[in-house]
Amino acid sequence: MSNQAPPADLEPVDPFESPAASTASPRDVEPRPPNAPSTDGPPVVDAVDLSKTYSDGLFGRKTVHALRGVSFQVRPGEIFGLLGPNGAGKTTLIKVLLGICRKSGGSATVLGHPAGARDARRRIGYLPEGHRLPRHLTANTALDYYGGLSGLSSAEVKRRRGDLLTLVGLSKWGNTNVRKFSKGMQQRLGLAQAMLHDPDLLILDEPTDGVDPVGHADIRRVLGELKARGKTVFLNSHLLQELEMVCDRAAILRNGEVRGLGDLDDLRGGGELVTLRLLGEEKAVRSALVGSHFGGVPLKSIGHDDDGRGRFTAELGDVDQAQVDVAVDALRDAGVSLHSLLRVKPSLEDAFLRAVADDDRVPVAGTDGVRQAGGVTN
Amino acid sequence: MRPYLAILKDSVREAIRSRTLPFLLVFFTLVLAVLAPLGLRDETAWRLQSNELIDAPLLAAKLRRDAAKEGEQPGDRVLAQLSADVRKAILSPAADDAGPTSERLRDALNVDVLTAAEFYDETAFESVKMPESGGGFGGFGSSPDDPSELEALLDEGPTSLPPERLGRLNRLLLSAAFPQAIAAPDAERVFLTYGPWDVAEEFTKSIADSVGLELNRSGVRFIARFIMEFVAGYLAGPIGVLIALLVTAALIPQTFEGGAIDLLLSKPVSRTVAFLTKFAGGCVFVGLAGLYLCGGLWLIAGLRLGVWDAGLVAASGLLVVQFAVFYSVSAAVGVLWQNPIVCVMAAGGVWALSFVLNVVWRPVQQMDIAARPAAVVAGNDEVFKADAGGWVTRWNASENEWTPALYPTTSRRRRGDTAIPTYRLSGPEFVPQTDTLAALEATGVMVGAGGPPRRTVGSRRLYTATAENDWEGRVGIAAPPLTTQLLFRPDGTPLFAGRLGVFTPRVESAANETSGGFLDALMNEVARQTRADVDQIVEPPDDGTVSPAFPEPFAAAIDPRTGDIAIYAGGVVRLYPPGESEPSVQATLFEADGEPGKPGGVPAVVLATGDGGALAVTADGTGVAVAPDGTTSEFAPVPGSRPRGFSTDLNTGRLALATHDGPLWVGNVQGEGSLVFDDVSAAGWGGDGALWVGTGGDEVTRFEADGDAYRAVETLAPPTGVWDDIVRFGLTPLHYLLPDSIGLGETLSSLFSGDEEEAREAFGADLDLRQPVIQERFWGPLIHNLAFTAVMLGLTCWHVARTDF
Repeated sequence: MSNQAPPADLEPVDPFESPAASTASPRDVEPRPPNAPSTDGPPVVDAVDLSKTYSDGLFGRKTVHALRGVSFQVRPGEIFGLLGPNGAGKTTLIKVLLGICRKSGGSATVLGHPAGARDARRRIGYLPEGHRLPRHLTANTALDYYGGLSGLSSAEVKRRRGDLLTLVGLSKWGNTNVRKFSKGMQQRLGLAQAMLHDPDLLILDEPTDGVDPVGHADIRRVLGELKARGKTVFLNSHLLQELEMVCDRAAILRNGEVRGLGDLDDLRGGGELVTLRLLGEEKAVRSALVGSHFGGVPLKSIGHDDDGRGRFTAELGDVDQAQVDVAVDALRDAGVSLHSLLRVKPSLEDAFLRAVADDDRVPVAGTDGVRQAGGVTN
Repeated sequence: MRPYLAILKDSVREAIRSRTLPFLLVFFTLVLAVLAPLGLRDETAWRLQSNELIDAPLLAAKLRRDAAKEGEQPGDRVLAQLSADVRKAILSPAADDAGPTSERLRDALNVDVLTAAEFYDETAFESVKMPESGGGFGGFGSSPDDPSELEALLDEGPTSLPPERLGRLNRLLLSAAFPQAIAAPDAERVFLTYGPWDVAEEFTKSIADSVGLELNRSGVRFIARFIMEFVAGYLAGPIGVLIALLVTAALIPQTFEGGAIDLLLSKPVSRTVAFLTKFAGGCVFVGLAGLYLCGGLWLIAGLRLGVWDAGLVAASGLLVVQFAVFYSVSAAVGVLWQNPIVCVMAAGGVWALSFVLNVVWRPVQQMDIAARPAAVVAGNDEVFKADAGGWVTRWNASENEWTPALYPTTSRRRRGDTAIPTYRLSGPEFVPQTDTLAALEATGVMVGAGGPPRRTVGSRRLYTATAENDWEGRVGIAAPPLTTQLLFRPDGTPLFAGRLGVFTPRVESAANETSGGFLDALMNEVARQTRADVDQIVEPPDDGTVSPAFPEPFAAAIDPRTGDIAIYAGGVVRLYPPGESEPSVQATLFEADGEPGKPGGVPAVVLATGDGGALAVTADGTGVAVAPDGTTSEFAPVPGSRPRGFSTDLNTGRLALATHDGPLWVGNVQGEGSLVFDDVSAAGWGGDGALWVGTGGDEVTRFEADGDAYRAVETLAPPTGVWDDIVRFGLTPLHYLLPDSIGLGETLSSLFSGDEEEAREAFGADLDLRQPVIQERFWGPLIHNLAFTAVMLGLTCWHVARTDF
């Protein structure tokens, strides 16, 4: 079979329910559909003061703290995002939850079982970052293999794999050796294997890594469908915009610690930021801002107009309308022209950068003490 | 179970996808195609084989005697067919000393006599007793009920017979005319063939000689399977295992590399079971290929050699073990470093180390075992021992080492002339009357009887040595045919005991008065001739044949204090008082219809006599005590151990029964005694009542009675050197630490070679308990290698179970 690109226009089919079930974008699934499972009930993931310490270096003399007292919960039916810079401990956290790594302290349960328990793993679908599918397999035999590992019979795998491959856009590639797959195709196949046994919890580590923009949209749609069916998704990604589009809640991990946790709105900071663009003399601008009690806001010069007047931006921040009015009045009284007034909601990226920027212990990538798997050394 | 079946299935799938399995199958198919033409061809036996010419000097003497007689005699017919130079060599006055060699005479008989249509002459053979209705016409152990093959051939007429049948007729006539010199032929001869061609007999014979086999059906079949073993066990098997190791080297590393192991461990599988299943997957792959090879060999052996041996199929399991041993190393390294090249190098390194180590260690061990004394005799402040092959040495106190004794330095006798040790001596015995060491060398001879082959050991040479000649021996006379045991009367006179009876050499009276006594006179006497005159003092019972013989199994013993003789033959013990040719007591110990020495047949025994009674102990270490009145009672001196032989204390009559397996029993002729040692190899009483015991390789210890126990007084052993320390503290621990690849290869070979019981019994071990049995080290290497594999897998599992991936 020739190595052709996967089709862009997918016709996804739900392999576990009626093929006629409609699909929707993640945005479409909010608010929650009436038939969606409730997010009430015991948490799917419950981590309390979780820590993980590695020994490293020659004879294991160095100690690396990959996780430091991580506590969070993932509720049933939600898409939970895990954010963090390189080395924050995200993958380590996932491995601890799956039992691939042993925790050093704290406790964690997954689906009501201790983290790593076989009963829990039976109900988890996992797509690791940079996963490697055995090179001798085709897409079909790979699903046979991983289905078997998940306890499915051959007949069950055969019944499900066609629809799943269709869902991830590989329906025409079932008999092609994975050696011929692009990275994006391998991600799609990895996602298929994670969903094959209809798990209650999907843990996806960088699922869009290497996937083209069309694939991103496909994966978003699949996640939306899973959420619609009440599945819980634990998503780890660098791509904040992607997470912002699909996640209900998120945790920001930094240096092995949770630096932010909650609904995305909470993480972003809630209100709107007001920014003024002004034309006038710098002295007049400053005195007007001081007079309206905004003397401390950052004032940036952004050039001059044709008349030689200065152009400035003043970030008033999260202020109410009355305060804005006072500032505008003072500026106008001082002869300053108001070019524009912007009201902007903060992004997740803003929140993320805020959460990680104030840590003077954060090492810069590439310097000593950074462990690729996550964590910093003491 | 489903997750593990998925791993197993995936491993096989991976092997198949790698195209190595088909390649291996093609390779094995070629190997099987090379071996398939091996087969056997039967031919009526008519040529005279070297082991069938029992006594060439006797034959020459009988030919001379016939030539001197009036009228046409069988010997005349033989001489008439021989070439002039051979005839002259036989008839010359000096023939006693320099007649034709046995080999030359045999060639001449084969070429000139057996092919001659005019050999048979009714007048000449008139005096020869032919069987009236049986084919066993005078051969030992023949049955009068056999059909008369000879008569049938004579009825057809020699001149009308095709060459092969004519040769058969003449061969039968020769045996009938000279039964004590020429054994009856086997019914058939078997040749090894390759397709339509016969394999050169020199080739099969050289293999047979090197191993010590007779070229009968079983022996030839053994050689055929030996070839199969060589090709399959030493070429195809190892190459297959090597290829498999190369192919499977990547299986484990790929499973444990980042991105793959996370995915695997996220599934509901146990880490250790997942690893073991992955490991087993590689073994299944090898098992499939091995099953194909061994199944093919099984078919070839069955269809071409007539041997349907399930052991050949079982050999595929050993191939898997052979692979698993090194694959466990490869897998351990694969888990640690996830690099197939390192895996192959590690497995290859361990294999090479194990191979080199065992190449050195194994012969050292074998030499150590072979050096364990099989016989110990002491007397007149001298201690002698013989090893498993019958090599005799004397303790040289001044040099602190064992030095050769008994055999002349010019003797043809060499150590280790067959691959499997055969104890080729009766004795040695120390004759206190003349301070002489003596032994009878016994070489293997197979004697056919027209029916099933009957094995025994044949006539041999007497060797003696004295201190005067620094214990270097003298070659003496050849004992009568079928002599198997050398006995000594209380006066030091030797007796030759065998299935034809008990004989005493006759020496001129003048020589008897020499200072060296009778034995020395005998040696001087026989130095002038090739054959001693003997007087028969015990005759076998009449069995209705031309040459009566004691039935097998045969054993004889003498009471060195009284001269009472005991003979065990065919399950019956006969006791002969000194000077009596008829037994005073006859007791049947065993009755059976099966083949002698075989399961279901009359068992072989070791025998001792004293106080008018006798003890007979069978191969399972149990026995029967025969009282002077003929009553019998069972006893079990060394249950489960194969007895080697008795030694009698000249002073007290105590008996020491040594075994091949280690236990040593000391008791009396009533069967009352106890085990006094559990790991010794031989024992002999010294003249002072001390018990000299073989306690280790090249080690003999003197024990003295201390109440009911025995106390070690003195140990004779050469000092250990650096090499011994290297073996003890270096090689041996390493041997047990590393896999035993050579031992496992031998185990595999034993399955390929098969269980050719008859071939092994050609050494006489079934009928002569002095002979060591071939010890199949089947389980030892298997357990050793399985233990190594289990430890490697256990350590790897431990690592896998506790590692953060």
